[in-house]
Amino acid sequence: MGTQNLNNFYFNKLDTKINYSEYYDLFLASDEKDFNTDVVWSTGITSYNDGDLLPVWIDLNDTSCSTQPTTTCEFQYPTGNTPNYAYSTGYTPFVIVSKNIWPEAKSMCDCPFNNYGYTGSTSWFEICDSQYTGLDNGLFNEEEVLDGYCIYLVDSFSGVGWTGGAFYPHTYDKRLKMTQVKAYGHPNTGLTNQWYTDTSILNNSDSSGYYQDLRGGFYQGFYKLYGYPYEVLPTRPKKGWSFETYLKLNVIGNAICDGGEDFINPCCQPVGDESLMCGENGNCYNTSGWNNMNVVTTATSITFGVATNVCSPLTLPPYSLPEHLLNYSVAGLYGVSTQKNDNGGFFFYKGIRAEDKYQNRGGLSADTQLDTLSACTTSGGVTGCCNTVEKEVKLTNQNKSPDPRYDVYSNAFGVRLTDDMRIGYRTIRYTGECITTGDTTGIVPPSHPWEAGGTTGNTCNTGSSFSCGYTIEESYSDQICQFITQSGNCADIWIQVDVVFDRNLYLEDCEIYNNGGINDLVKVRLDKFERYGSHVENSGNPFGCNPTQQAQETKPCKDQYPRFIEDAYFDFNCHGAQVQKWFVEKEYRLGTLSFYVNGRRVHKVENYEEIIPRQLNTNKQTQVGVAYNMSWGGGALGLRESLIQQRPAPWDPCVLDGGGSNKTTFTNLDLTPDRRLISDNFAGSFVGGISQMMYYLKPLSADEIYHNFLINKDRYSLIDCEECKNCDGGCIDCLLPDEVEPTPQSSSYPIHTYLACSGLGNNVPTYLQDGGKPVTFVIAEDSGATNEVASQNYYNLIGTPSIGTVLKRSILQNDGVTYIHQCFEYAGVQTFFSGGWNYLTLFGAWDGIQQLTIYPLQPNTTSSCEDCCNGCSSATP
Amino acid sequence: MEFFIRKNSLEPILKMQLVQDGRNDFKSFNDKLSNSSIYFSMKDVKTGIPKILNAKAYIVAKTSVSVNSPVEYYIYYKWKLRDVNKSGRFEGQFIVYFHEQNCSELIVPIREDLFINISESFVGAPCNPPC
Repeated sequence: MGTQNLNNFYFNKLDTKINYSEYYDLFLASDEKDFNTDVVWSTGITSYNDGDLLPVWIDLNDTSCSTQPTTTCEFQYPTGNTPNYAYSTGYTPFVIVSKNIWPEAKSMCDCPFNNYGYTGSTSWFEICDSQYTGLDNGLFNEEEVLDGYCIYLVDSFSGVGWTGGAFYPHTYDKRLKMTQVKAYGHPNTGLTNQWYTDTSILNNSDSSGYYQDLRGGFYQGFYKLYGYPYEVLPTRPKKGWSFETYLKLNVIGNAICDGGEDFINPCCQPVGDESLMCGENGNCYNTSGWNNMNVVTTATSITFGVATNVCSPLTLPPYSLPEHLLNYSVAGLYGVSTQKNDNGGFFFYKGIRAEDKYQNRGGLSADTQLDTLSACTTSGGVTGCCNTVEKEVKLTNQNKSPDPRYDVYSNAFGVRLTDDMRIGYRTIRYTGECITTGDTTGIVPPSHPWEAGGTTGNTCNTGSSFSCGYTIEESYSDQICQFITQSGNCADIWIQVDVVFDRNLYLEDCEIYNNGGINDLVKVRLDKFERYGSHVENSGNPFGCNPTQQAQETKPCKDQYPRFIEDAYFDFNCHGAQVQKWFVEKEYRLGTLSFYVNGRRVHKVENYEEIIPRQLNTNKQTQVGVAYNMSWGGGALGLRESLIQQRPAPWDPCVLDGGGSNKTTFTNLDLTPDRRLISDNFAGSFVGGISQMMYYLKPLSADEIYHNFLINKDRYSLIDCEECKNCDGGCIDCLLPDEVEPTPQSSSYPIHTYLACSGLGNNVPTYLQDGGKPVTFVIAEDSGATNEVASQNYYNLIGTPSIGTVLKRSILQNDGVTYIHQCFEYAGVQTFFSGGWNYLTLFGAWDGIQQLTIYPLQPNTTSSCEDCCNGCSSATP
Repeated sequence: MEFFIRKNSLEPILKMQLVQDGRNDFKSFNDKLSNSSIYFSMKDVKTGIPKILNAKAYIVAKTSVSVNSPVEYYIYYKWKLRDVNKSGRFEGQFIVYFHEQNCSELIVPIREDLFINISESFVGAPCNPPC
């Protein structure tokens, strides 16, 4: 080998290499069924019969989910004195239940329990402490609270003989139940029943079936009662969850278009050149119930408001605000003011539905309302599971959090569609971060922001200090489905919405509670720690998971420990071990949050930190039905409509007395700033139609979501927004409601067409007999039959025949021997489109179509079908 | 690539998967595929006559091998009776529109042609088919 010399180059100076990384290629996969066969073959929605994956499926058009009630505004928003309100069924909140059940759902004690009511050998479990919070979202009305109504848990309604129990608001089995929210706040004390907030839901129907129009109202239900034997959904699914719903977008303002003309999105069709009337955000659709119209004439530009058909009165023109809707009022310490807020369009909510109304408000002076009740205790003599006697607890000031806001932190999550047609989420995030101070010594800040002062000492050893707080976190898409919302025809329309959370990590068993879960925040009393150091397999116990291995717990009834707040509580000390662990383990909560409309992804949030619902930091008795809530069609009222009991002196304020001059009355809870975090950010609702909702215990993949779209496409006349956006009326999917099918314009083919002459023999297939479907003839150029009449060669030679020319073609029948003649009349060149299959191609001699062989057309042409068809059925080739 | 199916049979479905040769970011591709529109066309290799023109094709997730593995997709075409009522040899192609990339187009397969062979079948449906 010669010595290396830079001046001599022994190799090719130029070489090429194809870089495959710039493109993707695909290859044929094996026939193995290693794919989701349901997506390909199933005629039902994804996992429709699997409660493990789809535990909640509510379809208002299904009588197993809804009684499909009919109602009117008179019943939904009574404006007069209605003494029969409390008990008349016309005013009862609507109830809906899931048709699917989570197999691990629990709605009764695990252990033998026989204290409460009996029907035969079956009992039900009674929770009467619901009276303390049930008024606040209308689960109970005032009279029901005073009459001692309770929540009843049963294994199944058939077991106790309550055949109508599924649609009674206070009885619960293993199906998720949701009830119409009622707002009893701001009573007009002069009348028996008059309230401020309109929570109406009206019945309706269309080609999709029975559905309901939300006119301020929505549905809400709890899926777990902390400390009680009720849990019909897991609090933290193993990999993620998905929510799907079908919403009907309403047009608001259509009726005021000039000259009765309809909207031509986003504006009214102008009459002549006089005016142009457009909706707010350039949009005729609206999700909050009111649209601001802008009218432009040659002389001026004015605005005025138009509301949807709500049951409650509007403000005076020109604004005409639906001020009794949640979306157009703001509640505070001094009552309710009329103004549009930024909570409109919420249609899904998960988490805590309200702050702790009985909590002392940290850092504030005396609370008259709570101080009056300071000596009260919860119900006494209550029997828990395993027939244990439950201790009563104090009603007020038991919450271990510094102030009512802490229960909301990272415990409230809502999804909304805004008036400008953007979809996204809002949550209240508990935050903690190191703030660089540049010093390693200094004033250590107090543990909580409401505490004054601090101590001198080391701050963070990195020269930083750790600070806790909260932030309102939200993220929204661009305008969704512009084919509908920007360039459509402004007709009410259904959309499918999916929200998917996919955690980066799959968690199971104890990991669910320990790895970034709520156990991070739980502080257990030292003397109780050992007791909770066991893990019971399959106990469904959220707090039974602890690394300390102890002897197996034998009593399944222990699944209520550690008892808040007697044995444990959430420790929100910013510098404490619990909070630090919560933030350190953030990575276990990260995932991707995706939003889909009509099967197409419209928004994706990477590194989204999941919200893990948790109970309030107080005793179970004063939080019945407050935590672990889910809303459909709205967000959460918070404490906006919360009422608190009072009784005239000298009567005992702790007693709920329903009669006489010493009767207990209810008054609005003082809505101080620290009690308004939920109402300020989530008290809003979607105004429009709802039909179905599904809640999956898995992150749906894109193919599963699109499969659901295909399954429901016809029912709701859904369109594929991605395929329609540039379509200009070209494809059939793009047909909007009330729209005439447009003439297709894409992928057109000019075809020489013939119509079969009628009146032929029975041996000829009907699709050739009636002449209804155009026919064209094709022959392979290499078949040798170059003189094939009407082949491409035929047209090349003679050009286009005149319309009306009749040709005869012999047809070999299925027996392979018999021929008959068929006559065809030339209809000229017609244009067809891909995918239509609305013409028939008859191939040449070698080819088979529909078990029929076509031989060459007869060279002689005739002038009419009649002449041609003489002897059609007995011809020979 | 040769795909075989019997005349008048709807299975096996035609499905294709990404060439994972280590040069591509397959996660990114599957993410793009999850928001795409796919169409399938098939023409007779003998006559050149299209048998299927831009018929809708879809994606379907592969069965995961691990709970934490990212979702991977096949693209597939589900046969209709009229697609397979004629025996012969056909060439097939998919066109994929990626919606989150300004509707950029990808026609596959690229390096190797896909041939669909529909062979004759001698069995027919029984008098009372179970499905």
